[in-house]
Amino acid sequence: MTRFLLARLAQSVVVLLVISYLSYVLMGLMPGDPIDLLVGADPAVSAADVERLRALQGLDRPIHERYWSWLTAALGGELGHSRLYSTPVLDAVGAALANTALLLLPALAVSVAIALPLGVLAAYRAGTAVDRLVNVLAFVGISLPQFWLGLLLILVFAVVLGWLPAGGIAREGAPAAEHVRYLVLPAATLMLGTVGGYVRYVRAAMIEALRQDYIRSARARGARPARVIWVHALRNALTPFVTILGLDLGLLFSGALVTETVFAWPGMGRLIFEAVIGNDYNLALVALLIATGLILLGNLLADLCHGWLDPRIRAGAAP
Amino acid sequence: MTAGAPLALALRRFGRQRLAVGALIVLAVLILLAAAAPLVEAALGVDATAVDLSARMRPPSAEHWLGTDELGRDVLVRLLYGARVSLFVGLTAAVAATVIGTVVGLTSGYLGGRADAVLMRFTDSVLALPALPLLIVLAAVDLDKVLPAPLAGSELTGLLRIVLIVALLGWTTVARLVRSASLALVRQDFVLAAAGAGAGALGIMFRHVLPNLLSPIVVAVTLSIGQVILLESVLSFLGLGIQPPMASWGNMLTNAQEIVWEAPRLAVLPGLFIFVTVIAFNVLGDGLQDAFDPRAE
Repeated sequence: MTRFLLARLAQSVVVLLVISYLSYVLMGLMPGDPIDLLVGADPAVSAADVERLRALQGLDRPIHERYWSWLTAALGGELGHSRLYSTPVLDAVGAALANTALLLLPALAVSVAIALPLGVLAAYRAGTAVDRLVNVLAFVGISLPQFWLGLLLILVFAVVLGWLPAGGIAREGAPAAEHVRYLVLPAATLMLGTVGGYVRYVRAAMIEALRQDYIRSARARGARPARVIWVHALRNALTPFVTILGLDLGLLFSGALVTETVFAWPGMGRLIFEAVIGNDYNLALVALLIATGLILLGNLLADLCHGWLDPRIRAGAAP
Repeated sequence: MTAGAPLALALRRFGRQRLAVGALIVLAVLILLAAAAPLVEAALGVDATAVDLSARMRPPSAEHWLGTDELGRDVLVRLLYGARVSLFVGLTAAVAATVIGTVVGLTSGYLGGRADAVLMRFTDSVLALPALPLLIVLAAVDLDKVLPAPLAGSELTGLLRIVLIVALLGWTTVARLVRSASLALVRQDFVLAAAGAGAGALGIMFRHVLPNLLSPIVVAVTLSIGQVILLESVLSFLGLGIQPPMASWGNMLTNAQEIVWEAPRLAVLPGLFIFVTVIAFNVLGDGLQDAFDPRAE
């Protein structure tokens, strides 16, 4: 297990390094580097000044040299300042991370809580009208554009009914109920956008599990049908489901980005988007890498759960 | 065994699935409408891109069947032009993603061993990445800094850029599907016979294994079109995909949030088109999967 863990950690570090290099290069190709912005702000700056400034900022050096100095500084804790927020980059990221967790965890929990019974039901009654209905609902879920779903929820619950705020976040120190009112619509959007896929995963995994020999022997031994489904089969269906949940974290975060943008929820996704749009490259790069790193970590945790749920997987064996 | 028999069987099985046949009809109508966009534009005597600030957010009328948007443009005609963009991007990006995914999956499944392990770890790494933030970074790149001026500004470059960006991250599902399908094939007698007769690895992969993977590949393309259309629409919605004045369903919704109070119709219609198109492709793909898969039902 330790060897497997170390290999996976090493792999995640390599992925992060590759992403950081690619993002660094790509951000250099975006409009409005610091010098462009300066020239735009002050027409008196001459071409010679621009050259001098570029040299001063090190922008005339080859890209890999610049990346290397950024990376060594970043690993030493020098992450720079955010242009948009005028704070150290980590301060901006910290607040956003907390908000994303606040949005993401309830959405994920409700999504799984709905997907498990629905997926199990559909698998148990595979081929019947119930299965077909669940299937159609799941298709609706995975085919809805999340940003449009958010717009529709705003239209119904904020504009027409006026029950809930159309976006934003409660003021600090507001009562908990107020925080919840702001959370309901974005969390529902994120939940509805993910639950369809999860239902399909659970159903597929359950159908596979129900086909196994030990299910037949459990039934033959006279185990109650409910016990066979909810204990024997579900336990084994959970293993692939948890792995897919881990692999799907990136997708979940993409959904969070859209949701946060539509609902002006100040989380990580919106932070990355605004930083890219607002030429705040220090912030964009660090936020993107932290988000990616956390997703890879979640992935790793899902793989560990996999080993814990399935005792057949032991030291050194690849999943 | 003739090649026609399994196909006819698959067609019959497909014909029995009412939902999938319905999806196919919906898509056919949509393609016809998209093709007819300029005709509709001429017949109604409106212009898809002409801004008329005196006719902002008009309700539906005889001249503007679905009303006008926040800049006074005809909503119906813009929706139809948007259909062209979505279908073009969806089809081309899905095909591009499928080509990448097929090469990776086929190589992985055929070679097996260490090459398979490395390729699949790579695929998993890409699959696990947060796609949308990375797509945003890719889409924000200033083309003027990469391409010569006449290319950078053209409409077609804008379209192809989205196709490329989406395909770059969208191939992973196809790779896994093709790999698992080819794993079952490479141990079959005809592949072993070809290898025994001295055929090279590339020849076997593309001449013998690939043709037998056609049905999973067709399913993979169909299912990825829906995903691609969703990605294009969200990038365009965020202002990083198809740029106005060219209409796309995503960019028609960019301003919808500010005007949802005055003209909810403008926030509902483009999304409805995205939703119907995507669900039609997904249902069609699912139906094809069942039709091709002899174990189904």
